[in-house]
Amino acid sequence: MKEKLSELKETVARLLKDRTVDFFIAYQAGHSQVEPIPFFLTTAEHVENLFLNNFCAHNLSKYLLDYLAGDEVVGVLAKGCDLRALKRLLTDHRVERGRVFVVGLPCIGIYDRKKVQEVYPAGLVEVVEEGEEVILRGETGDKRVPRKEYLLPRCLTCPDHNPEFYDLLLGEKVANGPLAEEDYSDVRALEEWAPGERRRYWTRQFERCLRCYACRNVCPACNCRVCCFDVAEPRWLGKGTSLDEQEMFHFTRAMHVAGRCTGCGECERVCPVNIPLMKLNKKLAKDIGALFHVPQAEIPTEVEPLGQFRLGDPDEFN
Amino acid sequence: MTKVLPQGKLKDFLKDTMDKYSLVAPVREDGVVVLKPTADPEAVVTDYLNTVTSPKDFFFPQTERMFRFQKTEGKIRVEETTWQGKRVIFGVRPCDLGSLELIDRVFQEGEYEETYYLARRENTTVVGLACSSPGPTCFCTTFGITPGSPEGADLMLYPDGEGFVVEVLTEKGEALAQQTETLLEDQDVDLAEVKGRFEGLKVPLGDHLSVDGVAAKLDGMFEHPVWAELSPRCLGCGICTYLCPTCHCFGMTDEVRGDQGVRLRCWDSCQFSDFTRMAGGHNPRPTKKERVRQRFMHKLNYYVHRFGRYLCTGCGRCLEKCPVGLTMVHVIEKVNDSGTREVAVNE
Repeated sequence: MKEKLSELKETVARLLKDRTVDFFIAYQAGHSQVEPIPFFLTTAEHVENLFLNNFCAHNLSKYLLDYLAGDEVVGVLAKGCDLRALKRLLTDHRVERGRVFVVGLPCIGIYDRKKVQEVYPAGLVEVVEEGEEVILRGETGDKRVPRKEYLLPRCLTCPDHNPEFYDLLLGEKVANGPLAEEDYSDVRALEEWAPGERRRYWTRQFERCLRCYACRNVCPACNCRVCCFDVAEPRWLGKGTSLDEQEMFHFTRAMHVAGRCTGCGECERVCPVNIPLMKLNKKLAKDIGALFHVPQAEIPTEVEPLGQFRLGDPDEFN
Repeated sequence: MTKVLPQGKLKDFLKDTMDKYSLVAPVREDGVVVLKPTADPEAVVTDYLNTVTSPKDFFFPQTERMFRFQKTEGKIRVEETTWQGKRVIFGVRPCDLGSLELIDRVFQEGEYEETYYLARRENTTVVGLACSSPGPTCFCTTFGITPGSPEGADLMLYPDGEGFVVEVLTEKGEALAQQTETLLEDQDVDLAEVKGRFEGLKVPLGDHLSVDGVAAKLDGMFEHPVWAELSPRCLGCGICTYLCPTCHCFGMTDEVRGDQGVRLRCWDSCQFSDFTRMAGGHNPRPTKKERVRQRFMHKLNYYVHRFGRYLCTGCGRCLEKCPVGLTMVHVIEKVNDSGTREVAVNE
């Protein structure tokens, strides 16, 4: 991916210079190779600090919600998954297409920082891809590992190596097709547990929750003007932390994004205490897929499975 | 002679501790090491850089039930809640030991003493654990703490060969050493030499990051463009403040059901959009810019003016966990690098 950096620099500099965009959101280097961070460029000079590698995980389109009030045109770099998130915001009528300039970024997978750091706690110099394998080059030597095992979970089943739409594409399109079928195997495994065992599992997860709301804040489907959890009156959720309140938060969050979750897994990626939020989201996606005959529950569509009603609905809602 | 706890007797040490104290210790759970109450010595681990959550949780809990109240026949009956017990927190790293001393001053100095916090402090014995190999996110030395600093501990353990060299620092530490005395061996070990070895360990990030003059420089940087530059990427979540061992902001709330209720004191985060939002709807920190500025000004300037020290101990949790790298190190570097135009204007 980093081979596209010079093209990205040229592109962003041009867009900023000719005022196609008022500012541009991409990535800059972070504390280490495995932690690129979001970067807001306001002038062409900033492009020197642009950064790109296969750890650029953040979905940048969520930031568009911070600029609803103005009339700026915002440039944003978007991978296939990020574009699905943008589509979520467009479908929910939260963002105007005309105020976003999308630079599409073909992507064959983003590495999971946590997994790589287990192999190289410090001093990762670069990641070199060689077909199905990847060489993690660190200060203490190289390690050759199967590529698939070090990717973010979302990348394994990703159907969109190329963004579905864009105003400009960076480089050439790449071969499409998921590396693995989404078979909801982790959800099925949980479904087979005894209820008590499942209860203990989720209790342990929710008791660890800090209620920091990072999962909500990165989620492209969590795009309400005012979140019910931030309302003081009426107080939907107690300020105090307890298993009850934590469950209330997580079930409300999961149910609210049910049918609208794009499967990006950002919630799980940013959770500081490793709560497996995607297991909840995927359970709902799987059930919605089965109950409403939606083949790809995680792809936003104008007609949402849970966002419509039919006069002939067989369920009487009683 | 110096007391040494052999590695093989660590579990027994924890077991003996539990005869008299409740135990809070690092436990590995679903891939993260958290500090939590445990009754199982087998679950306690010592192979962590640091725990994800910090010891502040057990002195200044996320939710403090201060008192209950009930209305009966026109009168309100208030029932205060007090914390009771004897507790040991095991395995606290030097950075986190230092953080307790910083929070102590907030709740102890000045006109009012914070009795809920102090009750927990008085009844908790803190067992520190020196760091054998500081990690890439550690920068304790920036703030004058070393991988071997015991300040803040009642009893300190220095990993050494096949065991832990023990240093008793306070009366509470002495009491714990007595409680576990059958497990501690007197050995011919030079405590000062062992300590010196830990104090001299390299902390790559901290050794190169200087905070000298940052507080004074920030006096003139309230309106500096750096805040508008840093803040857009903030997610507005509470990861940094909730994992930080020194952050201590809170809000009060009454939870009322019918004619009874409870007053809670809960953590709050300056990064949340409703932090300091007034009843009438006015918010003095309406955007991320003001909120991010508040976080770093509090740690690197306001606290320094009040207590003479920086409100950070270089634990590195914000480096490890902030999803967008809005970290103490990044901000200190930014302040060090930024122009001094505003300082000149203000002077």
